[in-house]
Amino acid sequence: MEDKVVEIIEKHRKDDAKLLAILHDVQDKFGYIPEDAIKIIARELKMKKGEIYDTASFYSFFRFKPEGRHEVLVCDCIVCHIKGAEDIIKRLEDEFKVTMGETTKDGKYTFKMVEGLGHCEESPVMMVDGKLYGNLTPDRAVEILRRCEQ
Amino acid sequence: MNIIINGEKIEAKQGKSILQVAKEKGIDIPALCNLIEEKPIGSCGLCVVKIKKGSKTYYSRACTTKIDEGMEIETHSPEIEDTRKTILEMIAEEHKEIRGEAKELFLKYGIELKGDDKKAIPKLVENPFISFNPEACISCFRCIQACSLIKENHVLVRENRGMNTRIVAGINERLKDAGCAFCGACVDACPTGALMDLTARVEKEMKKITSICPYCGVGCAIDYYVSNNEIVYAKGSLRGVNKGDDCIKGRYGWQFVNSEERLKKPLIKRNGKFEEVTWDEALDFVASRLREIKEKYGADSIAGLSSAKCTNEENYIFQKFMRMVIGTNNVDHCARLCHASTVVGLFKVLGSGAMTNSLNDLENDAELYFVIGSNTTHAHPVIGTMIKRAVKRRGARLIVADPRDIELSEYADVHIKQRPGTDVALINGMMHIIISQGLEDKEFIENRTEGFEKLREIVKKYTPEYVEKITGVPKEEIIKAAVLYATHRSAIIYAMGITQHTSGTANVASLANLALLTGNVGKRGTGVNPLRGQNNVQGAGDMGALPNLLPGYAKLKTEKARKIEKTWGGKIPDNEGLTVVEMMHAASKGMIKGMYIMGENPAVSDPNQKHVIKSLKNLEFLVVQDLFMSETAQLADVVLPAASSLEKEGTFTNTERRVQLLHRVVEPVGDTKPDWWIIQEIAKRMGADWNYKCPQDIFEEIRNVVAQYHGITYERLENAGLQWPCPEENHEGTEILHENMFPTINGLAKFTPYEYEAPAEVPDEEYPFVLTTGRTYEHFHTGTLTRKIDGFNKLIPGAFAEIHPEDAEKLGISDGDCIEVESRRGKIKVSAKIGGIKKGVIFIPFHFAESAANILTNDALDPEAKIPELKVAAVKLKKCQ
Repeated sequence: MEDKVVEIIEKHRKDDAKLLAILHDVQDKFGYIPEDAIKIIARELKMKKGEIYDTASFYSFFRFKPEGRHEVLVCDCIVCHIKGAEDIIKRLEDEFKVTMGETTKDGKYTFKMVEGLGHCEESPVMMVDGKLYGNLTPDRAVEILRRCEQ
Repeated sequence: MNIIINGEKIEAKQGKSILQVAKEKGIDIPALCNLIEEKPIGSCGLCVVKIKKGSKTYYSRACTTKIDEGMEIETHSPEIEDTRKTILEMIAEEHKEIRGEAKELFLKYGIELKGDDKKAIPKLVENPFISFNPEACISCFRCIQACSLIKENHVLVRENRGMNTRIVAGINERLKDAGCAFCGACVDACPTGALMDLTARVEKEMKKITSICPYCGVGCAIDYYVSNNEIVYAKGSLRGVNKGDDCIKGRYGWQFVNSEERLKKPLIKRNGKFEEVTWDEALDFVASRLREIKEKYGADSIAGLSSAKCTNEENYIFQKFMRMVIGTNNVDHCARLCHASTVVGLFKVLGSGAMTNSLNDLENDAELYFVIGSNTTHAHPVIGTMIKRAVKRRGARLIVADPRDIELSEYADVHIKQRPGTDVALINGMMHIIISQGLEDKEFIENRTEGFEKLREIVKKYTPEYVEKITGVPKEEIIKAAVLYATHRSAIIYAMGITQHTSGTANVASLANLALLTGNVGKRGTGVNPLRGQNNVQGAGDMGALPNLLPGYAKLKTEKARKIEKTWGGKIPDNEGLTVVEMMHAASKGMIKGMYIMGENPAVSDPNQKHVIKSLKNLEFLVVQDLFMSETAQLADVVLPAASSLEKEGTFTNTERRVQLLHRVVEPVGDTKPDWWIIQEIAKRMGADWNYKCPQDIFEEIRNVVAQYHGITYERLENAGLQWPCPEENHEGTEILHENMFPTINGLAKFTPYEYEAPAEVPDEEYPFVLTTGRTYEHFHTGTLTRKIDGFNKLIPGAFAEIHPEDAEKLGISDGDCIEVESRRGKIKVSAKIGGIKKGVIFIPFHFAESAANILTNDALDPEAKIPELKVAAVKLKKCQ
């Protein structure tokens, strides 16, 4: 990791607002911002690791834990909610032993709750790796995800 | 500038905020997030005020709005008070457990605190000293401002934003892992009681007593809060040299006072076991045994170790006791192991052995700090903070020379990682570069110094290439450091990394040469500044607890000595006494028969520990005076329980020559007595006609004997102390030495160049590593005090050896592995800590008796100052079987 992070830092060293650019590139490289990368950036920029974390955690688009291989967005907008999104969420959380916003222990899925995927006519809906699935039931939601494991 | 606040015309200075001006006028505007008035963060919104300017009326935060000509300001109109109430109500919804300053505000506005949601607890709570209650934290960020803007630590930070913001340490780590200094600035800043000292408790009647910290030589004034003869908590006093700063030891290190392990009764060893006795019995026994030994073997068969932890008064009468009652100059103290080479080296070049400048001018006026052989943020933390601030806030430059990646190296322009023991070569190399580039201060050399030609001759061969070879430092870095140093108003700051070598005197003299060469002496923000290790090591030397020098550094057999004899009414022995290490050698050979050790622990602090213990065991009689049953006390025949510095009065002299008055914070525990009382009682029993009633009596005698202290009185010390030399009662003390002339015969400083000589022991095939020793932040010296405190033991439970990652890999050692370190003198087991240190070098702290670094160290001596080479020993390493 050391070499890769230092290479990214060198690329931006002369920029005025280099920290955000470095953090973006690090996330692109590793899929998230690892703790060790924060320590290396702090050392190289003569800052404290806390200062880096303070800045980075301000922005919701930076992640500090690795993402799962599949991104699952479950919609809980008012329409999906009325049509049973709550049951779907509960079932998914039980089945995959996570809470929304987390990644499963095996690193396969990252679950996120969103409000409005723009397909109210098919609600309740979820999106897996960018593909939309509508008219869900709790069983169907689990089945879809089990299928993409294979 | 004219403004109107609440109808009243006010004249105020431009540049101030409305909040500042209102405060000065006694108008109470609530503000929860405001900590540093010059740097408001405008987060809480409570200080909102109504402003009318010309035809415009608007609302703005008083903390972030600067006053402007003609402003009409209303601070408490009904709609503003309503807004404040709304803000407070919103906070109150979720913060049931708010306490302290903020709670009073809620009471004032009649708002009830509510909320049951339990908030997630950040990892920072896992620490022994500071508690954090998220139910009371309102994210005002005062703690973060204190940690970053006041202390430059940047440990406490914000995580996330908006509603989800919370305070964490580092990357949401434990405080220690995030690099916390446990200075407590966050606790002091917190308005809601979310952050608190774990020791603190609310007592109805609490007294604040200010005294001087018992640890290092910075000499911080500490406010101790006392209830029922017990310290409840402590923090740095605004009245001291520390200006409110403190460190982990100043803030939490007082807890040894009430340790159950404190000695409370005098003890005499009978049949190998200590028995409690009365003071009379113990004192009679000590006096009669010392008298017997003196009669049988002569006065020079007795030696005494005075103490840099005791007061000036106690050091003074200890050495007087040894010289006048016993009749020997065999008196020394631990300065021999820390700054003996400073005294000799600086004396040779500058004519005085003390720190040339003061904390105040170093803080404000130095353009560059050259820190060499000093882990300042750990060993002298308040000065460390001062340097960090100067670098961060006013762009001061910093050169660090240290084989370890010490904290200050993160702030440095250049970090030189020299091989231990090669400092003379490094400094000569810097001087070579300065001369060859014509950067020397020719006028200063001409007018204020002598011996320059000899220096030029000697440093000629120390070319960057040659020095690179000796020190292992790339020549570019040496050149950069030399040029930076020579082209700024530069202050040298050093400590034991320079002094504890067989070349200690040469190292110190070379640094003084460097300062002379560039004219960096006798001016504000410059100088040669040794940081003294113990609270009163400067004073112990001033008081003449030295085998070759009398109080005030008077030489034996001189006119000054004769004058002291007159005051003392007797003859001072003529021949020089033995130094610390020489005493141990003499004891092992049976030439020293009896020793009186006050407040020192040579069994752990001195080099070549096996030999020290053998020597102490070889004595016919050993009396030890201490707070605790130290490793040395265990070997004694009599142990006398002493009062700690928080339990007595007297004076300490700090690293910048500032004499400071102690105030008794609590009454002595058990049957303990102040050291001065004990010494006098023994002296009386040996026939001395002494009658000091209190430390002040002794100080009055010191004033007469020690010229540098002549103008100092207890009354004058009440405020912030006085810096010697202070020759007259109307003299204000001396901040900076050598401003116009040097205290030498002709008033000139004398260049005293040295050639580089290798340390006594260099690595070879059998012992391929260099061991260097030192302190950690959390513990102090032999741990007699700090290891009695649970919190410190939790943070650093035991010894470790810091090792370079590549060295560790070669030997198959992982972080935390048990490793065996062996030198020619012994071996110890410690756990490995892989970290930032020069390849081929390992570092072990010397606080831990069970894996004592001093089993390994070398007792080879500097030929002039007799300081042992604690900083370089050849060792080999392997993983434990």
